[in-house]
Amino acid sequence: MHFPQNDIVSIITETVMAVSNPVGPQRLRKVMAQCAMAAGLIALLVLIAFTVQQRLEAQGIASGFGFLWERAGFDLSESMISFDGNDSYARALLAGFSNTLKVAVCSIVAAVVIGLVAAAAQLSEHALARRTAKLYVAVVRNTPLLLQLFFWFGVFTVSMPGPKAALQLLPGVFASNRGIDFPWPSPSGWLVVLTLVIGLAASLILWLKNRVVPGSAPWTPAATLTAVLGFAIWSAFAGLFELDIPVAGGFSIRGGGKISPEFLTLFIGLSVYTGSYIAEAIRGAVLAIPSGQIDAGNALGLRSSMVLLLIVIPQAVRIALPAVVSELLNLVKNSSLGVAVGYPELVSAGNTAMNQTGQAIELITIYMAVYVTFNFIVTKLFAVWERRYGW
Amino acid sequence: MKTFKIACATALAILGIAAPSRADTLSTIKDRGELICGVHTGLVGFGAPDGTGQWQGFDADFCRAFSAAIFGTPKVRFVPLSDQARFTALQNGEVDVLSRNSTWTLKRDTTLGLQFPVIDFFDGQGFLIRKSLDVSKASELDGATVCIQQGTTSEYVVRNFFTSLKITFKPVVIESGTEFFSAFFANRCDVITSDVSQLSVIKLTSDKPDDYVVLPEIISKSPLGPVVRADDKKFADLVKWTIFATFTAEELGVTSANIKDMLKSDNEEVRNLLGVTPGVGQGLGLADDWVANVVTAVGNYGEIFERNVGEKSPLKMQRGQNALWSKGGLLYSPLF
Repeated sequence: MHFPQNDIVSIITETVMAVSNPVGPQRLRKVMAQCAMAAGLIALLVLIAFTVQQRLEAQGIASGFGFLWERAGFDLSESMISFDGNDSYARALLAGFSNTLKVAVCSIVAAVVIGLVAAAAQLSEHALARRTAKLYVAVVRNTPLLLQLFFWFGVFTVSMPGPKAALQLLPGVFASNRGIDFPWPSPSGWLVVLTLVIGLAASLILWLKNRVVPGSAPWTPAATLTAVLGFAIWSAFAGLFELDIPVAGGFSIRGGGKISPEFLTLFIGLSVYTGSYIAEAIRGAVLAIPSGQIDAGNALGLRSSMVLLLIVIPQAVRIALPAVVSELLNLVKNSSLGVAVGYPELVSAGNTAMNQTGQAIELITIYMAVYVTFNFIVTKLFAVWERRYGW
Repeated sequence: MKTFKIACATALAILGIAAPSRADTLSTIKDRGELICGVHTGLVGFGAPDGTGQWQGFDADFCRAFSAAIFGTPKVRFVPLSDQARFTALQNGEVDVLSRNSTWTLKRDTTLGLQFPVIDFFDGQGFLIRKSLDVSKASELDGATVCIQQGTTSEYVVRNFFTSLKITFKPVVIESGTEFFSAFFANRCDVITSDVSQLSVIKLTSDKPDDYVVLPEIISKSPLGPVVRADDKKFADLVKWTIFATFTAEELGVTSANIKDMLKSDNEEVRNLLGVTPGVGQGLGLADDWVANVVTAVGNYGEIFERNVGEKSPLKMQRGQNALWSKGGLLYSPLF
């Protein structure tokens, strides 16, 4: 065998080369060596799994994934998919994962926005903005995330009034220690909203098209807009557009849409925390661009906004992207801290199942598989983006 | 094939190290010189460190009792464990015994590789609520938000209760003990559910205990007791009979105060229990004076109860079901 046995990097490189290159006699031998290595690894894993199962059986501890189809018998406070205690453990985990997905996607968007704003502020000429952003990064980046989550949990529960004394932010929008309640369209209302959005988008596209090709049909956007507005007024009178408005009553505020304090805690906590890291990654990327390039842009007579748009941002994004992606992957994993503040995400639902069934190894395997798969997909999406721009 | 051989050798080495050796627990404890006891992370009255860092409470005293039975005087290392971690810690051998208000259920007894030798505290699950909400019974709780601690049996018990009354509720499940209390005091939930003994502790930790009330309904039984590994019957016997010894000592009127006189008693039952007439230690692999040592160290069941959770403690709990069978309770020991 010609490959160095202990060097994992070179083994991987060899494998990739062996697979991608035409197979010659030498290559063939190497491919076979890789296969033997892979088979060895798989055999090792099987051996470990087998021994673990045997030991568990010897200790009288149940094992296997059969429990997933048993009745769960516990409820979750919120879920993106319908779930109640009569459903199976598998569905409980799926419901938990739907909550993980919700908080991860929302926080990723918010963290990137916070990061961009904070990076821009740190680089700005404005002293107040610069110092505020520096303070934010210094405080948030240097304290543990769990501590910050407990802080936000306090903000959204201890410092807010009870449901009977809820703060009315807007007509029909209430904030209390039970979360934020707001009006939410009924199913037929959603249909109206959908129609309006499509209609407005169509008007906008027609208008833009008219600007590019002047004189083609100047009246079409106006006509579409009129039709859309007419439909809106008609549906309001016809009672198609209904809002479910929250009402305070009994123990809680009922009806309408609801954002729970646990979700708010995790969402704000994760966005603010990850935002500070993203801000630093972007700041570093912008500073990494040679100042000569900006000078060159200025010398060509470009406006400073054009210098930013055409020279700085395209290069900075390329430099910052790997660091930002790895922060976003961290954010997804950190969402498992929801268990500490009562947000029913995957690990929270799984821990309850673990406690009822005692099947820790199986559930932790599921956690690992889910996070690896999810983060693998995120990484691949960004890789596709990078490739599109030929980075 | 060299690679494969290396892989196999590594695998066997790892597994060889990873496989725990199962010597009998009693000898392990004797060799070590102390008992390792899993306790609550901090539940006043049951298991919590006092001002000097000593573990105090009902469950902690039973750890001392097991240790006194083995060594003559209590030699215990206390390991605080969360609800989540407790059974795994015992399975892995990090602790010898759990004395940590754990509810005895079929599933825990049969699928975890553990056993519950005996019940040492008869508890029940209930609700703690603000007086200002004007709720007098649990059936008025329709739509209420309920704080539940993760890793306990209360999660499914509370669901069964609300479903059977055909009323709705919203669970807020929190893992951390402190956040669990503070969420309730911050009015994040209307009610908090747990074992009644724990609710009275939670009530005491608030600024104004009088603002809260435990609802009269007990929605489930909570038989609490120590837990040991299933593969060691001998050690399970030791734990079980130590607890029976505290019951029997109370029945016969043997206390930590009068133990010296009792050793000179003519009563054959007392002489037998305290090992004056030899035989009480033989089957358990202990010295014949082990019961006398247990009573000297922590007292009988009544003393342990009163000192930690009863009239002599801030919790002021009634004996209730935790009285001797002869006084209307459920404590009933087999014969010594």
